[in-house]
Amino acid sequence: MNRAANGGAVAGYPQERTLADARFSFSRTGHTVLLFLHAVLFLGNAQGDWKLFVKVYKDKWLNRAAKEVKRMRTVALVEDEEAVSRGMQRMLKQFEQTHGCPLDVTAFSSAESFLDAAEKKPFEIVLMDIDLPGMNGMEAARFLRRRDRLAVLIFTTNLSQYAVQGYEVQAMDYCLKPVSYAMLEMKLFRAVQLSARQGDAEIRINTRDGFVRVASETVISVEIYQHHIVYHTENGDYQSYGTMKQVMEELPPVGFFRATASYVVNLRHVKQLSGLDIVMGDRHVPLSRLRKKEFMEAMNQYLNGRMEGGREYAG
Amino acid sequence: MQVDTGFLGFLQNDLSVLLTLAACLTINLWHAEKRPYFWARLAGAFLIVMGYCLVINKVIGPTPVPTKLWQTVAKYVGILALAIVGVHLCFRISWSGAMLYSASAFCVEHISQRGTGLLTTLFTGLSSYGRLVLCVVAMLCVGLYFLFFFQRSADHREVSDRRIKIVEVSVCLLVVLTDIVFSFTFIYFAVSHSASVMLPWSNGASVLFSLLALIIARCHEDIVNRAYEIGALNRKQMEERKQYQRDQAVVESLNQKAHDLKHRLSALQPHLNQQEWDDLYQTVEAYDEVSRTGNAALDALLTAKAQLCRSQNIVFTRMVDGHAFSFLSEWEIYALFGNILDNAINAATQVPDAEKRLISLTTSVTHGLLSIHEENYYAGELVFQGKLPVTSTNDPMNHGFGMKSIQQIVANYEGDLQIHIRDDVFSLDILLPLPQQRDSIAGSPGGAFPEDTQRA
Repeated sequence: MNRAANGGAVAGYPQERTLADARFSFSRTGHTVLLFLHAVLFLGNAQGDWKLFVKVYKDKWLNRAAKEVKRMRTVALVEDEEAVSRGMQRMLKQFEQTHGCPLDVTAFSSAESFLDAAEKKPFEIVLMDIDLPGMNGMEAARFLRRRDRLAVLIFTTNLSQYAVQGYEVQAMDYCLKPVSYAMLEMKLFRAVQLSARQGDAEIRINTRDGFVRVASETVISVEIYQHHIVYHTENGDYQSYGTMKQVMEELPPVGFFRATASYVVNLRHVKQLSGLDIVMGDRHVPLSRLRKKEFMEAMNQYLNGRMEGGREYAG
Repeated sequence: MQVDTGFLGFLQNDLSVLLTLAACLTINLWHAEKRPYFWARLAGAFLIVMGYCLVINKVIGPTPVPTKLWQTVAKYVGILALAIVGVHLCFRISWSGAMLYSASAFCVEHISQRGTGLLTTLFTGLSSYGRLVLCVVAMLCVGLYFLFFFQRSADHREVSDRRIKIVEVSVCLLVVLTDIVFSFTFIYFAVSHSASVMLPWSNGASVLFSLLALIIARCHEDIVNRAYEIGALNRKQMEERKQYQRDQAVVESLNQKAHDLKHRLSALQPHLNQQEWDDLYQTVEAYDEVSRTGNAALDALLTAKAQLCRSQNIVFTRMVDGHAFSFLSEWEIYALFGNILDNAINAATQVPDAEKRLISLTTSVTHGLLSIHEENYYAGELVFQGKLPVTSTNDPMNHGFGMKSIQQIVANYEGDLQIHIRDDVFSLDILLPLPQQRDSIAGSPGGAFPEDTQRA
């Protein structure tokens, strides 16, 4: 660049005070705005591939979550060997103390006695030894599943090859004997998360005939058309008036997903995803591509018993 | 306009140009492979460029404006050319790579010069501090350049793809044409025709062109990195696939023998007490750990990983329904599960507490969706490469690839991937929609209104 002889600026042209003319202020600001936009483009580009990202959550115990964890879980321990059973019960106590999660543990020494008891009082978590005298654990699991699809089932075994087919009875996982506390803790914690229910959450629906209280678990979906709301539940439909915002405020934050502007679905009742449609019973709820992504995210959260609200109500 | 043509002139004008160029080239070539006698070559290159500037300043003479347009253009083209040659001779870089780096360094220099020009016209009070402004602006530009262009990874990736080379050469030509030829032509015409009102436009346009060239250069870096990663991933997968196939054959025969052995040993059972029998059985059991998930690729992979875990004293429990994964190709299965388990194994091996060397892998199908869950204890801090978590290992590069590969596959199927951390437990949850034919259930999309009270 050539330096002006008057010792002035290093601009590539001689100094002209007339350039400060207001006529050109627009071009100058125009230039700076364009520069700024380019800088922004640049920044965006330099961040790399923003489309793929992994959602990482540090599990924070929200108040709601903490309450659910503290709720007592009924646990059945089916183990025929005395020593092993006592050891497991000790570990369960240790788990209780470490995580502040109360467990109501009942020990059984045979599959038959467990199944009898389960019929009267269902258990939320079942720790089942596979190698039992009489009926073996896998058989017992099959019987259990006929009546109870909700119990979280963990096998214990010293041979993995019998447990690997556990998915046939929707087992959550299995522990290899001898069961260490670390192994039990890791898997039991997940069982505790999975057995978290939507709780006794109830919602109030303001119908024409007054308020109706409905367990949120029974709500299948909620539709809104202008201000007319229909709650589709297992026990029939309820009509109400209001806005979607009011509906969303009333529903619990976890487990419900806003599929479209006029449709909220209860993830619990989703039958399957067919292309871009959510299938619930005999209804198809169409999703946009973006919503499908959010649906998958919400479902992933829900299926793994994550207690945070996630993005069910995004947009 | 008088210009000092001696050494002082060089110091006043061209040194800043060369310094900016050198700074930016250093940023680009930080990790590049140096040729032998590097420092000697570098010193030589610098001396040559300095000499060139001095000589050409003398040639052009003291009054470059407005007559000596082509000489000025030639001067800067010469500087760029010398930079390219210098880079190529000092580092092991292809010519097109040298062209790209020199051109982008030139862009930065150009932006700082013209940017200063713009600033002095916008804020006329600055014009008396011209050189100071130039210094500040130049440092700012180089700083920004550092932010966006400095590669943290240790190796300099060069990919010899013709399209990439074309991009590199084109950017260089673009820079030459717009930054040097075009802008100087503009300036000299403006000055010689006393139309100095055009100068801010010219400066602004120059800066924008340079920014555009830099954006392209940055994209080029991303593309090269990605191409390199894919190449590395493919190589890794090829090797692993061969390994799995070999393993499968060996494992099959081992398992056959173990099976036979177990049967024969059962005759011994009455002669041993329970403890001895259990020990014996478990020893043989170790060789009978074949995975039969219903999916051949998955079987091979899980068996291989199970053996690996056993050798590293990691307890690996798995409950995988292979039938559900029939829609994935073999590659995808190796890539997905292979990477998940490799990451887990690497994390588990670093856990000091032997009891906590655990990996759990389960899959299930619910609500027409396929879910994969992997959990393991880990030690130390979870390190992040960008937005991807990676446990700190000796081989961070391959880990970055592994996680990206998992993500790519999940994204291809429009699935969802989440990672949760609880104290020292790492868990990974993948949800994939199962490919279905469209249901023949007739259903009104979106459904009912007051008249239709059918239950959903």
